[in-house]
Amino acid sequence: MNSRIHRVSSATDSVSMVMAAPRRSRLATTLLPLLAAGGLAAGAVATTLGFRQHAVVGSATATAIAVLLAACGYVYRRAGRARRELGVALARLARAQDDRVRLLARTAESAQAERRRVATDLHDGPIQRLTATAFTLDLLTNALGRGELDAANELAFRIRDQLATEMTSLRRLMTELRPPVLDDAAKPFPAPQPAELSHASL
Amino acid sequence: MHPSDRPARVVVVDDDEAVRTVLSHVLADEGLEVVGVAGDGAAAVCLAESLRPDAIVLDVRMPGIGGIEAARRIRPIDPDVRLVMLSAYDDPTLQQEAAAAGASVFLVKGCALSELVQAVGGR
Repeated sequence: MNSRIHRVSSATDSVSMVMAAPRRSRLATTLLPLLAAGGLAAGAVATTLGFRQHAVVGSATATAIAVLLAACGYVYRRAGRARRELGVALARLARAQDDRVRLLARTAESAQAERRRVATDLHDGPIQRLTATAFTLDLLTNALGRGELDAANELAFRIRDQLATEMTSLRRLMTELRPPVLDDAAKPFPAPQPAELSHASL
Repeated sequence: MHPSDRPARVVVVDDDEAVRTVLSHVLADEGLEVVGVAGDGAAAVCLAESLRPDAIVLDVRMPGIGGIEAARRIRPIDPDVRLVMLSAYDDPTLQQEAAAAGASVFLVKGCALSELVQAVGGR
């Protein structure tokens, strides 16, 4: 009896050990078969000494506890492995999230830089050209006011050239912003014709 | 005309050569005397000191020293010169910065010629 009590308390200690420290569950599951074997041996000794009924109950209880603890150890071991795998997956997820944030920031920076470039292009190109054209129109108005038709005629031709140059510049900017090749790429593939489908199915 | 019955002496500052040239022509056509042209703020400061014009038409955005910084440097040199900012940007914040730097008038490119001439002090 004393040995059985001692054995059960050892098994309880093993449970505490497993509950408290899952990393040690491997050690617990190694010890548990030994505890079970001890329970069976104690049952055999009790039988020999004539305590048959107590021996059967005691050894069966010890075996059941040992099996239960072994199962607990297995579960905790699996839980530990799952926890480690979860940790690895979470770390991977965090890295992926960092990458995503970095990519988004880089995309936003690129978009901002492109907007600044377009704004600069508009300032240095079309707006300056149109400013010059507006002032040339003022010159033309003044010339007409003074009745200088030849000068007015020359200024009108100059304005015509300035506008043509500006249209070319704007067309270039438009093409940079939206190259025609992108429009072609955005077109959906043509739907296959019935003849093509039947040929493909062969 | 300038109050002293002589044409106002004007310096034109713009980094775009076409604008610089046609603006000089049109101001001269309006009876003003264009005494100097420059393509950046640093040159504008030099001309302000050496020519002592009645007015300076300054583009705001230029390579190197821009128009606002040029105005900030010119104002202590000549407290009486009319500094007319002529910008592509219709931006209130920019206008406040220009005023704080000592600009007399802030005009947006595309304004009426009469506004510009009046700001420069022609009539």
